[in-house]
Amino acid sequence: MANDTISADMVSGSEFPFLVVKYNVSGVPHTVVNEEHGIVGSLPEKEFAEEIVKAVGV
Amino acid sequence: MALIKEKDREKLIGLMKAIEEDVKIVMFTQENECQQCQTTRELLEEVAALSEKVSLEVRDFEADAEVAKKLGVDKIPATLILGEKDYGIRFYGVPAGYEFNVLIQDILDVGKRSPGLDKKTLKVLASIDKPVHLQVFISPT
Repeated sequence: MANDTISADMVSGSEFPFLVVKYNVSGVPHTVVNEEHGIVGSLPEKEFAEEIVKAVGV
Repeated sequence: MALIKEKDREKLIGLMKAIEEDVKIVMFTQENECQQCQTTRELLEEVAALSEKVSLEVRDFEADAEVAKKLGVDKIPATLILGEKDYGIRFYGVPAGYEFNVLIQDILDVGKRSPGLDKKTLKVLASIDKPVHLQVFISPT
């Protein structure tokens, strides 16, 4: 909602095990950014936003 | 049997009074409903009944394949939370357990047309000018 270029899916790992394998998810929460970058664990919201910025290389 | 307990239902009705603008939930299931699709649909029907501002549209993943494609839905059960536009909010799987809280929070945020984030966070996010697709994997519920 903060930025129209951002979309966010919540994916239940137990229901989509093929995606867990595809993205090498070994713990949750695990966030996949644009199919390639992983952010493992939960972070305070500002740090999380900064990790996203870092991942997409703005 | 109702999935939302009576005590929780009352609390949720109270929370949803804060919704100012219409929220549209679109759910994709299929004719031969899988267990998770059925649970998701029943849960969302109960959620939509909590507020006049919240509506539910149930779609068939196969019969409405073009709509699904347009909305970027590639698996089911899929739950989309829309306002007057698509904010790109999706739940894949049953939004139950802890994720139910997240679902409700998202409905409230869209209903207020505000992401409810800190100013500093919004500033960081505003700097992004490329498409970003986040997939947050969460635990089985």
